[in-house]
Amino acid sequence: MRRVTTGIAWLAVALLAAFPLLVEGTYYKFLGIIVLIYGIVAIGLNILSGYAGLLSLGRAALMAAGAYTTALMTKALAPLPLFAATGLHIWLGMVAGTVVAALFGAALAFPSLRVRGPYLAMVTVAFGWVVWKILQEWVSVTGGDLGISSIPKPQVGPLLLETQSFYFVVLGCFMVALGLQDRIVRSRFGMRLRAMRHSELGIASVGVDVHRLKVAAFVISAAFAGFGGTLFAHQQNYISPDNFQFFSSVFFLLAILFGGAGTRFGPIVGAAVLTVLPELLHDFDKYRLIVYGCFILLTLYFLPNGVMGLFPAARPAARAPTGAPHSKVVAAMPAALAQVRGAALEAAGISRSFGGLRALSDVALSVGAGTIHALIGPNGAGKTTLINIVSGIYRADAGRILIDGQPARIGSLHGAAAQGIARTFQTIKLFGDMTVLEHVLTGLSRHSRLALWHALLDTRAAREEAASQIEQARQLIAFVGLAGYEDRPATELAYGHRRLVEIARALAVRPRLLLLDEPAAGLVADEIMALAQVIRRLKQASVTILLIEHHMDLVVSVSDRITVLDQGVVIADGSPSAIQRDERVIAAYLGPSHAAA
Amino acid sequence: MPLLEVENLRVAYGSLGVLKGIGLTVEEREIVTILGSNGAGKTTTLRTIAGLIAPSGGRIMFDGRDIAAMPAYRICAAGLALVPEGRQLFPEHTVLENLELGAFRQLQRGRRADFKRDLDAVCELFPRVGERLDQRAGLLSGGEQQMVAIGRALLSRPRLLLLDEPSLGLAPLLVQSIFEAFAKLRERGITILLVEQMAMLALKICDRAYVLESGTITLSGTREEVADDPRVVEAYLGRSSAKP
Repeated sequence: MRRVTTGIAWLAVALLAAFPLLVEGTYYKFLGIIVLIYGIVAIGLNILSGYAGLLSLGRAALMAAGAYTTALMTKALAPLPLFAATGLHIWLGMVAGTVVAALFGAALAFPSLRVRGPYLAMVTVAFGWVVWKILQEWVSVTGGDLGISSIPKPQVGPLLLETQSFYFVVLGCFMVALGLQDRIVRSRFGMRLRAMRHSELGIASVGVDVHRLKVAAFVISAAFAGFGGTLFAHQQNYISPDNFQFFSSVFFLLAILFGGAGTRFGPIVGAAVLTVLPELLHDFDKYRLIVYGCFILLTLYFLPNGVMGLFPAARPAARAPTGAPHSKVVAAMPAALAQVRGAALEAAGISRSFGGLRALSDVALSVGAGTIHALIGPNGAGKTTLINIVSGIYRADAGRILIDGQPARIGSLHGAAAQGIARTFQTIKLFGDMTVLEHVLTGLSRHSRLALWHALLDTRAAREEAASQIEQARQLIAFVGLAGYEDRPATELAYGHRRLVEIARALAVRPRLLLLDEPAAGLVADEIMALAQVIRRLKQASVTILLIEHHMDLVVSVSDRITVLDQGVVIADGSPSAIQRDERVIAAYLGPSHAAA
Repeated sequence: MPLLEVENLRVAYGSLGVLKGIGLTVEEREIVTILGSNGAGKTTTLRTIAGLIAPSGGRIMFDGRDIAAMPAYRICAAGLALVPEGRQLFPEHTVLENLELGAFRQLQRGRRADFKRDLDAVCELFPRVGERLDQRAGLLSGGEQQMVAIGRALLSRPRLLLLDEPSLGLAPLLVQSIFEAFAKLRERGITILLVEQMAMLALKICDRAYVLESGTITLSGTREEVADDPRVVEAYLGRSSAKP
C-alpha cells in the first residue's frame, strides 16, 4: 500500500515537472504557476486551520502584505546598477515580503488568544477588510485602486525569467513548502498544534504555553501566505486591491476544505481543482458560477472530509493489544523517571469563591516530599478546586502555596508543569484521535533540547532524539499498563484506559509533584490493584503524589496521609486508620460500610 | 417475551471487532448487570442498544420491535433511556432546565404535576441536586453532575433504563444510596440494564449478570451463580471482598 502511494506521489511530481513542456502557449503555464502559488498559500492555511484547528479568513490580506512589500521594494531598488546586474533585489523583496506578512500574522494572532471558532474567523474577516481598505485609500504608497504596475520580473543574475523558467522556480518553492509542511506537522511543534486543537488544557498541562503556540502557528502560516504573495506579485507584474478581496480569503479556506483539511496533499488538490475548474467552465457562460457553486456544494456534501479524506492516512493495522492492562507483568521503571526528586507541598489559608459560592475556606494542606497524600470528601467539597489552584488553573482569593519551603509562583497551568507539577483531569482532556504514543510524546516534548530547525532539516540529532523519546514514551506506556495500545487512537480506548493515558502523559513531564484527580474512576477491581501498584512504584521513584479518589480500598492501601474536605473546610487530617475511625468522616463521607472495624 | 432481546450483536470499529456476536435478554422489571474489564465492550453494548452506534450485524428486539436500525431519538421515544458515561449535561443551562429536558415528553403532554412529583423524588434521592436547582450545571462538581445525569434519565420515565457506570466519581455514601434507589425503581415498573465497575454493588441489587470479555459473553447466570464464580471473584470483586 505504502509503495503504491509513493509511486503515485512520484508520478505526480513527474507530471508537474513535465507540464510546461506538454502544453502549448503561455496561458496554461501561467495557470500552472498560479495553481502552485495558491498551493503554497493553502499549505500555510492547512497548518493553521487544518492541523491546529484555528479558523482564519484573512489569507488575502497576508498575501497582500507580501506582494505589496516586494513590489514597492523591488521597484525602488531596481534602478540601482548593483541590483539590475544581479537580480538580488527580487530575492531581497521576497524575503522582506515574507517577513512583513509574518509580522502581520503575529498581529492577527492576538485575537486568537481570546476568541475561537467562528468568532476567530469573524475577526480575521475584519482584519482582511481593514487591510483591503488601506490598500485602496493610502494612495501615495499603494497607488490606491490603480495598484502598482511594472513590478520587476523575476531574474537570476542578469537573466530575466520567462514564464516557463519561472514555473520551475515556483514548482521548486512548492516542493519545499510541501516538505516543510510534513516536517512541521511531525515535529514536536506540529504535534502540539494538533493536540491543542483537541484540548488547550491538556496541552497546557504538559508545560506548553498555549498563547505562544498560537502566535507561532499564525506567524508560520502567515509566512507561507506572504511568500506566495511575493511570487504572485512578480508573476503578475501588476497588483491592485482587486487581487486581494474577501473572496480570495474564502477561496483558500474552501480549497483546503475541498482538498481535505489536515491532510498532506489536500491544499494542492483543492487549489488546483478550484483554480482550473472555472477555466474549464467557460462554455457554460453565464451559468458558470452556478455550476461551480453546485459542484463544490455536492463535493463537500458527499466528501465531508474533502477529496483526500477518501484516502485515510495509513495506520498500522489495528491489532489486539498484547499485554492486557491488568496483566500481572511488572514493567521496568521508565528511564524518564530516573532522576525525579519529589517536592514538598505546603498550602495554608487557601480560600476561593465562585460568584456567591464559597468553594474553599481557609484550607491547609501539608504534603511531605516523596509521600502519597489522599484528598477525599463528599462530591462538591472543593477537592478539584484545590488541585486546580495548586496546578495554576485558578488563583486563590487568599492563602499561600509553598513548594519545598519556597513561595511558589505558579500563575498558570503550563507554568505549574514547568515547575514539575503535573496532573490528570477528572473530565478527561485527551487529544482526540491522536495515538497513545503521541499523547505521551507531547508530554516528553518539553524535555527536547533541540531547536525547531533541527526537525525542519531532519538532522541526525533530531532523528536520534525522536527515537530516544519514542523509547521513553513506550516505557511510560508499559509502566501504566497500556503496552500494546501505543498505536491506538485514544478515542478507541475504553474510559478507564483513557485515564491511564492521562497518567502516562503527566509522568512524561517528569513531575516532582503529581496531582491525580480520580484516577481509578471507571476501573474494575483488578485494574485498580494494578493502578495501586503503579502508584506505589511512583513513590519508590520519589514522586510526590496528591490523590483525589473515591475508591476507599485504593486510598487506604496506598496513602501515607489523608486530608478530608467537606463543604470547603478541612474536617479531618491524619493517617488512613485514624481517618477510617473518625466519626465526622464516617457521617459525612464514608458511610457505615467503609468504616474501620 | 423479554423486554429486551439482543441476538448475535456485532460491532466493528474499522477492522477491529469490538462486539463479536453477543446475546442477552432482559425481562420486564428485571435488573441485569454486565461485568467486564475496560475495553471488553460494555459501553459499546449500551451505546449500540441505544442507537448511538450502528451494529454491523445482529438483532436488537425491544418490546417486540427490532430497533437495530432505528435512529436514537425514536428508540428513546419508545421508552429506552441511556445515562451515558461522562455525564453529557448542558453546562450553560441550570440544573432544573437540564432535568426538565429529561422530562420534556411529560411536560409536552402537560403533566406538570407528575413532573413535580418525580422531581421531588430525585431531590430526595440527591439532596445536593435539590439545593442547586438554579445553578448552571457547568459549575457543579463532577460528582454532582453525575447525580443530575441520573436524575435526568429517571425523569424521562423510561421503561428500560441503561446505566453506564453510574457510580463514577460519586462519594462512597452516595454510591450506596443510588444503588438503593435503583433497587426501588423496580417497584415503579422500570427495568434496568446496568454496566458498573463496582461489581460488588451491582451484584447486590441485580437479578442476573453477564460477564463480557473482549467482545464475547463468557459467563452468565443469576447473581449468585456469577458472584460465586472464581474468575469473577478474582477479576471483578477484588480479593478482599470475596463475597457480596
